[in-house]
Amino acid sequence: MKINWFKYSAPMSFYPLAGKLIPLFWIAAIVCIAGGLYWGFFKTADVLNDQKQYYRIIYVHVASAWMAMWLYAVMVFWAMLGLIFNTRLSYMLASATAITGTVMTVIALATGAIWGKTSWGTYWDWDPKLTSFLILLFVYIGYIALQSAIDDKRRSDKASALLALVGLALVPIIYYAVNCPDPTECASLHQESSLKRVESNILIGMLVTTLGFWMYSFATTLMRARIIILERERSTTWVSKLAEITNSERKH
Amino acid sequence: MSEFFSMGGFGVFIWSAMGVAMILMILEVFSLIMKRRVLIKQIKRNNRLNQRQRKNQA
Repeated sequence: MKINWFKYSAPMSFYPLAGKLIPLFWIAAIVCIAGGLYWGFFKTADVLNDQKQYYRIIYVHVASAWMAMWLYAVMVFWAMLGLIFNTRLSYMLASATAITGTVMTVIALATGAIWGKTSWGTYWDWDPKLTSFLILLFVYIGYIALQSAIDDKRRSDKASALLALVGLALVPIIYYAVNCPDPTECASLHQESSLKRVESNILIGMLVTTLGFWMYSFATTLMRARIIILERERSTTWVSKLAEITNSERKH
Repeated sequence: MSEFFSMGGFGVFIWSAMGVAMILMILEVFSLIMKRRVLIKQIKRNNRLNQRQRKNQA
């Protein structure tokens, strides 16, 4: 069976498909986040002693930090697809991803600050990883601001796609920043990001929560994409024939 | 029970981190729902106006 992928690159056919997928992603998100946190809080008592309890912040911190970086890469992917094939939907998906990515970046920074207070005794430090992550937040905000600053949608899509591409350099920088194996030997506070250092029992909770955050990102991105489609295609016939537009409309 | 919530004295930090994440995510979803509702109302109003205009012209 051959699936015609380009069929769904038309907003008109993507809109109902996204509508069907959103509830599925919501169910998956709630199940995974609740399950991951349940495991992380109730099934890991043997791993963490009282002095290490603050470690439990890892579930939301790592999940949101990974999603913040991953969603940035996804955003660049859609933006590039838009630049290459000039498909409207790709640009719409890129800008739909940006805000969820910003939310994830803010969560990662906030939970990281709280964790930092418990383990380093300070909310913030100009450590390479923390600083590059803060710049990621500014690039996200810059992308969103640039899009709303240019009224012509075709031009704003292209300009912000280029900004997103330039900012992509940040993702490997954040990932490799620090990775200082021995904290006494270097100035950085943030520990090495390596899965090998995480207890396997904690790792399960962390990975399941991350999967839940991913499903959440799918759900919110698709919801936002549908809003963007409605906004940009509002004067077309197919929008005016949608059930949500025609229902309960007053008869003349 | 209170032992569980105090988390070895780190309860305030752990629960505020969980709370911040939850509040931000709920706010995002809430704003999406509201935005969609407002937008659909706008499009409906526009369509009604257009219909009336077409009728008047006919």
